[in-house]
Amino acid sequence: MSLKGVKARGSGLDQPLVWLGVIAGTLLAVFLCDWMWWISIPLVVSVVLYYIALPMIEFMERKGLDHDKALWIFILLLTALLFFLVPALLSWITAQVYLVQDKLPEILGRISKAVAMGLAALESRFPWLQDAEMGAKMNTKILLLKERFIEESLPNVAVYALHWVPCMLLVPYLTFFFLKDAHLFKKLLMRGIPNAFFEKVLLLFHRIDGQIKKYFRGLMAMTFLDTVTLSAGLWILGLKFGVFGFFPSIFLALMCAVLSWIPFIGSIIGCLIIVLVCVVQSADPGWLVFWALVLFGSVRLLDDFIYTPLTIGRSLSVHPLITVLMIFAGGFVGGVTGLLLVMPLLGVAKVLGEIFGQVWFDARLRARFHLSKQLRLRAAREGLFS
Amino acid sequence: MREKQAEGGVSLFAYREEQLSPELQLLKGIPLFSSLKTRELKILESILHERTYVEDEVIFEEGDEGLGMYIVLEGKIRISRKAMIGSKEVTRLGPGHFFGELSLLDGGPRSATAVASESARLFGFFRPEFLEILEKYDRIGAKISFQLARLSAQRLRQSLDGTQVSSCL
Repeated sequence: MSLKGVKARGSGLDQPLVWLGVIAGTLLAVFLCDWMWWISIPLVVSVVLYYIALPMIEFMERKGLDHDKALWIFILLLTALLFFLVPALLSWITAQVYLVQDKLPEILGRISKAVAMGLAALESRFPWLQDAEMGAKMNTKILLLKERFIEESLPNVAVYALHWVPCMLLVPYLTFFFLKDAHLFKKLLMRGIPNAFFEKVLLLFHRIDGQIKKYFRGLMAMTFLDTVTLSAGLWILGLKFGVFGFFPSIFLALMCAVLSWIPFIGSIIGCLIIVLVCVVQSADPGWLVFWALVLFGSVRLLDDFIYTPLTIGRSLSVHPLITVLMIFAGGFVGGVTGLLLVMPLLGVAKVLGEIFGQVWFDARLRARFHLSKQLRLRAAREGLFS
Repeated sequence: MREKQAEGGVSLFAYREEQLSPELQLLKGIPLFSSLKTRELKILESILHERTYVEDEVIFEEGDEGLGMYIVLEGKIRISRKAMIGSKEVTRLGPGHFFGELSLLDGGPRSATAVASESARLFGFFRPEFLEILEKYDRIGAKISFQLARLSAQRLRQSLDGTQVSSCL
């Protein structure tokens, strides 16, 4: 008997119903994650860190160490690194906070001046903006912000930052156990898969796990290349205009490279941060902002046309239209949490959808599953009525 | 030396041998893994998948995408191939035997169908995890590969001699 037309062919995501399920599942997950942000955010961050740390542990295992020893050596090295880095970073951040606090009125004054200049240029070109008194309204808003920022907004920002601390303490704890017992979690997960689907699910699981590992390795390589290129450019700009030095350039570039992990929106936020820093640092920021924008644009082009194909490839890519729609939908359903989590959750839902599609639309596997259920029932009933 | 002391039941090593979990003891008794040390068996155990099947339940079918091999811990497995009419039983395998090793090596489609002829407990040993073992623990990988090649050659020889029908799948 031929099994043509009965066995599933191609990707499980070829089925439109599966795609609909993936999108609906992602938005439901975003809603739940927003509702339970205190566990969902550390969980997602831990999974990302797990995939980032795994290649280093696997490298040590290939050198002959067993898994537990490799893990402990990694933890010790990381602790030593943090022991030296964290105090230095904290003292630098504290110094910057004091600097900003001292210079806050001046910084806000510069921002309001830059915004006023920009709006005046716009108003001279588009008279309807002048009619709407755009410049005057923005100026009043900035003046209000300037007056109230320290008394009201700053403590709120500090409280918002503080309420993240306890849940983020979960991150190292979760990451450690993911790294230590990942194979146990995988075995536990696989134990729940019925016999009929088991081999197929395991095969897909390994393929997808391999793709995710490659993706994160690529992402790290791309972040490194982005940071090096952007920090070199910013440092040269800093030398020319007498503003930010070597370490602030690296810090800014790293921040932008990490932000660009969030598609589209991350790059825009990164660009805004660079513009803001240029406005704050320079007395006459016009040309500095222009060159910083040129630099940022060039790095993005390098990123899209050279770095991304070299590192990440297109293995996990989603259609740009779906990406943008999902980011907006995620933001609508889950606010800031939704914006941050929608893409990783879409990736997970896509993986599950692919496995489900491949398994469920294979009529032969389903038939074997139903037969197995009947056989188990028969075995359980044996001797019951005698 | 260690084995002799263990047989005597008086040494520290004998005590350590007694600490083997039932699963590890089962693994130790399987010819394919008999050359592995306790520490190596523990690593191997972490990647094996234990599955249970009831009588007449299909384990895999001829033509399926093969992922790896199974080791029989309990029960009996019927191996059959498609014939002109229906299917023809090739062999029956009991505890300690393994089947599906060709897919473990080449990842190709299954060349026969495996069905539990009575309730059975199996260990699944799959290609992605075998490759991981080869990459990370080359000594364990070499020992298993050698035993696999030796036992497959033994089966092939028996098959050529006509003393046993080959069950390489």
